[in-house]
Amino acid sequence: MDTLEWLSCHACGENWVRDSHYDSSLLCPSCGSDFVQIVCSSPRSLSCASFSPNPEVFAQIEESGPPERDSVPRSPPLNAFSDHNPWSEEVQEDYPPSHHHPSAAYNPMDFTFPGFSHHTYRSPDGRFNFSGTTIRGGSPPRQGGTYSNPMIPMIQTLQTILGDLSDASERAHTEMNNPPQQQHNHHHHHHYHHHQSPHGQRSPRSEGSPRQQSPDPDHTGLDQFVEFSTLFPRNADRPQRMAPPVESLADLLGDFHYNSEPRRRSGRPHPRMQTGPDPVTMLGELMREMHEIRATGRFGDAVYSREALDEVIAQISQQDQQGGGAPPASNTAIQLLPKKKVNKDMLGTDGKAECAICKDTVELHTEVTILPCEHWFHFDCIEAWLSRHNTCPNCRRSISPSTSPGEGTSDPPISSQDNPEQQPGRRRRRSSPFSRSVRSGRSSFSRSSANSPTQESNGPTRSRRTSRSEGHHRGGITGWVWSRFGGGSG
Amino acid sequence: MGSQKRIAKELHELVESPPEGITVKLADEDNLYEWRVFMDGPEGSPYQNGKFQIKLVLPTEYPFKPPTVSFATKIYHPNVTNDDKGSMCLGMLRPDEWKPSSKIGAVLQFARQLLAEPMPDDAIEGRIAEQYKNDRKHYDEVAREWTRKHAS
Repeated sequence: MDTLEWLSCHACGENWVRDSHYDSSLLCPSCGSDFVQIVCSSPRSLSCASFSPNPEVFAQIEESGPPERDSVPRSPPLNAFSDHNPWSEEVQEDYPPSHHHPSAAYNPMDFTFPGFSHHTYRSPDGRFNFSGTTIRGGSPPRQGGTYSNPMIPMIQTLQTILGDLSDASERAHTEMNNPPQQQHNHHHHHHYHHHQSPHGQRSPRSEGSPRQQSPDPDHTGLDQFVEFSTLFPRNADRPQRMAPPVESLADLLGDFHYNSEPRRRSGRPHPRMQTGPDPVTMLGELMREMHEIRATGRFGDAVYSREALDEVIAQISQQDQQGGGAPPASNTAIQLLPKKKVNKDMLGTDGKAECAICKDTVELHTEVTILPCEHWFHFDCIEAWLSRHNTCPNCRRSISPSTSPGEGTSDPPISSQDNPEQQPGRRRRRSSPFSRSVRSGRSSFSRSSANSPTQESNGPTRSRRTSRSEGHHRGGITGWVWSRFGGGSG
Repeated sequence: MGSQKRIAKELHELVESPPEGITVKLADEDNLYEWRVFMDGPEGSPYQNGKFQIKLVLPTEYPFKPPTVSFATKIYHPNVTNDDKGSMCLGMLRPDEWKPSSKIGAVLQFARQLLAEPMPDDAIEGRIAEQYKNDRKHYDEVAREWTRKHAS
């Protein structure tokens, strides 16, 4: 078949036309090199003259403000092939980018693969990144198949996957922030969430509604850009709107983080309840948990590292050392305890008595300190004990008068102490000091707050609450029974 | 120091009128806080005829904090750790259950009672406790064997 072929010599730059019917050699007529390429071939009747050697379609990022990048107008080439370079797609670093991509200003963050180009724009204050991605569909009208990059389908597939994920995540955000009827309109704003730089302190969610009202020109520009991007070639597998380009896996992970992080801080209703089994939310949640495990080595009841285990053990043993037992009584409470001289009634049947703490014999008329439970001790002895635990060393009743019926809640931290201590059979439940400590840490509300690990840090609030409920218990018949029979028998 | 006075007093009482099967002395004459206790295995128990040495350590805060009791002699018992510490798990010695009115003599008597009647539900050696509950015969054998081997 007769064809006209346009050839170009890469050795000397000569271009010529050959009629394959007459000339079958592939040598440059001017320099004799065989480093020549058939640039275009056409049936005899047609001419290649109108052929544009570099028919790239570029996503040009348009800003509403003054254009950040200059569009360099292409000067009409003197020679149709003067800027044609069959390897330009593959060896672009050998050429200044503006040479073969005249429409895009050079940006170090831009990159171009065959069939796929990506351009980013970062706003001067660093808060926004705009990016545009071009995937050229179809095959360029090239002769000779100068390249066929196997990466293209892979990149496109990856792009689709990431886009899908990002899409889902975006949908979750949108549903959270906007009423459903506005969803479509505000969709585009969320492009900008994805590219908001992480150092923006406020989370986009918290400022969601003000943004919708602000007629900031920047946002118009953003919308323009996004609208433009919807004209991009679509993936046939997923004929929805164009997904925002995801630059890297890190961006996507950032989304997950963003997805899970702020909701823990803000007191908003749990979005997971509303969005249902959104794969991105679930993934994000999973990653958050993994992060937590990695950071603390603990998740819920389980520990995942030696350090975390040590921590738990240390906590328990510390609890056991200082803990075990009621909290100290206040100095004023100790000083306020009544004192009395020992009389005959206070001595035993054998006419002798001793201080249960120092075990010294107490003579008649010695001044002793009497607790509400009627047990008495040397003041120095009982002071030493009460400064450690606010209960009677004999019967474990609280030294606070609040345990008597009717007086209820006057001195909260104390009233809850002796009650659980006296529950019969409690010790039976224990199997080891460890399990006991763990249990007491968990159920600190129902049990004595003295054993709670949080007692030290936020003691007042916690114990106040506990004891108030205890106080209610004690107000009724239970309280009467406790004061009658519960207290003195221990 | 108040605690020394009380400890000295208790020691004196225990030496003067020791409880059944229990003798005490100071591990070091100059240190009131560390005692050596010799405990005869209670009759009728697999520890019978055994003589167990116990280390009793008193905290400086005694009697406001409980003493610790550990078996220097190896013993096969649900409430004594089966390691080189031989810690005895006594409810009354737990920090939250300790009463300063409890005396060392009472603690030691309680410990001896525990040899006669282990408390498997409060055990520190779960495996021995299981055996005590479910296979008393085998438990008795092992405990007797250990007593013969280590405590005589």
